Amino acid sequence: MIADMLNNLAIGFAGASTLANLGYALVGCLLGTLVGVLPGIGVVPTVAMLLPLSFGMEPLSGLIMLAGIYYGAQYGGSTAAILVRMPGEAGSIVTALDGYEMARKGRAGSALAIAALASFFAGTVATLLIAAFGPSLASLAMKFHSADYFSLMVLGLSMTVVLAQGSILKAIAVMLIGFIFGLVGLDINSGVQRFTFGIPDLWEGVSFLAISIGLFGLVEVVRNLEFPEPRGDRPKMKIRDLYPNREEFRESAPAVVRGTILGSLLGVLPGGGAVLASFVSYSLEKKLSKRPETFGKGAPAGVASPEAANNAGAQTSFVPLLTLGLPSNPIMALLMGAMMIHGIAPGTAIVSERPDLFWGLIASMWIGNLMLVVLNLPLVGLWVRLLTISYDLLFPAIMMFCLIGVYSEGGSAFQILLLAGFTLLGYLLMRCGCEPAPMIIGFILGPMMEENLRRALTVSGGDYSVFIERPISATLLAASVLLLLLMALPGLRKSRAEAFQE
Amino acid sequence: MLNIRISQDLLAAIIFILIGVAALVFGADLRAGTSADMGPGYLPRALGWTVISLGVITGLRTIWLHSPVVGQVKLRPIILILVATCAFGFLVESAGFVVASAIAIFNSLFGNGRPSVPYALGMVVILPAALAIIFIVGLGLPIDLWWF
Repeated sequence: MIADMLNNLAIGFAGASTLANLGYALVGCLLGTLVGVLPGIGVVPTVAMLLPLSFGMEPLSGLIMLAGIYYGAQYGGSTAAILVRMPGEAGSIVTALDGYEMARKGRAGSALAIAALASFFAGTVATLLIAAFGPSLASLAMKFHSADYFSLMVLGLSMTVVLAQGSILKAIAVMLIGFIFGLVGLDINSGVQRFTFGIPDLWEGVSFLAISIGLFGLVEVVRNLEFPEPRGDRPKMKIRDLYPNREEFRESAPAVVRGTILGSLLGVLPGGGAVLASFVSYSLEKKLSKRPETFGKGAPAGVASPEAANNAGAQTSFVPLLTLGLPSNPIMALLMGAMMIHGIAPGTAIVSERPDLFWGLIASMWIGNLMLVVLNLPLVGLWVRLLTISYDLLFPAIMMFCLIGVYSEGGSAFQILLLAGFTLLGYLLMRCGCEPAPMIIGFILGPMMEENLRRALTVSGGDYSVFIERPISATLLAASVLLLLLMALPGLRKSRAEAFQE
Repeated sequence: MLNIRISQDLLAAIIFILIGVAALVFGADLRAGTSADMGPGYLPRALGWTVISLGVITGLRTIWLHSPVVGQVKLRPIILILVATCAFGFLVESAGFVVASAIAIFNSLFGNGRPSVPYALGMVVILPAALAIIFIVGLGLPIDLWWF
């Protein structure tokens, strides 16, 4: 098995390390970091905005660049969290706690290096784990029937709902609304147009870019204009001592290992375990530490562990997408949309039918992580300067990126109107305390669920009990029900609220 | 500035119910079929009714569950970003990329308050030029630069 894995990885590295693909990985990492480090732009808007860049490329090159953008944006988010305490995304909120304190004590360089090295270590381990277990998970999934797939997606949706912020009831409704939008267009089974109002632009469905860039890109612009974030203090400290001293290293190393394990495990869970992993690993380190009082005051382990967990989780969140065709978080949903635009259906078949793509992407994950370490530490000075760019100069450019991205896909003015519509909807939902992530996941998974539901019920003659008679399906459904019930318990609900409060 | 005094949950409930009703109304002519032989209207109906029910529950829940009010809404950012977006959509085919994006950018600047003249001038001139060079000249997107 290990020989197989090494052989497969060799194929992957051969595909991923052509000069052109290395170039795309580099461009992706740089662009991702560049946008991710800019104030007020998180990872999801970054990926959504830069998605259209990949459409003219070969599928593997496009995916490699997108994955690079994803890692780069995360790395940029950590840099912003450490230097100016402005976490661009939920995964680096915890990093901001101790990272910024370290920076204030003049250890900014060390904090950045710890974050980078922890991420690299976690990325390497997670890449190996995916290579080792991905294919067997995919072959397990080969046994799945349509009923099992349907239940699997129900589980994925339940996880998404549970991990969304705020009310579960509203998250479910938002997800189902995404499902409805997913039904727009030609119904393959009956050849009937649904909700298209005679508009040719809707025949193939609602544009994936219009909905995702509207909900994540333009709504962010509006939110930042309406609620300007207090400007981060310009980092006055010099970035000297780029390397952690021996004591910092000794404190971080075990934390990195623990964070990596935790992140790899939680990342696989559908529903976005990477963020959860960073919170859990931080509190774990605080409990294990001999000096818990240093946490929040610049403890190196408080930077190392959540960064490792977050990055490992980000990596392993590819597993459900690549092996089951199940996007576990909004970014994976975006990547899945991109794959479908490239004509690749993510899922069990990808390992057997497009091994070059599967292994190439895995190899590129490691390459991307390596590039980020090698490139970003020397470029810290540049990122610091970017951090201080005023939002007044940024937002028109961000808005234009969004418009160009949507327009370049179909080249029709209607897509832009659709974009405006989803921006308005996303804005209204934001003001009602609803998160947009469940909508995009419902939008992507919806049509697949309909297909599998229809197939399962046709086979069973319309009998819904097929979903509880098949053991795989029953287990998955039981897990979803259990999960939703657990969330209804007052004690857990409280700790969930606290986790999001921090 | 608009002050919306109803609670977040109530507004959410209204949005959910409206979308659910829209799904039922516009999906009314789709054949529902049976569960063994699903028609194109089976799920739209099921989803429409479910979203409406969730909306009703969310709304009724506000009676005993406290939900914060929506509060102050600054109309400037949302309206001007939407205006800028639509302006770009309507103009890009007839007026070309440079003019359409300059007008969109000009509108968006007012979403952030009153821009100063040099700032507005700089954004409206430099940004469209830079974007045109990157995306249309450099990456070769098939968008017309000008109206001719």
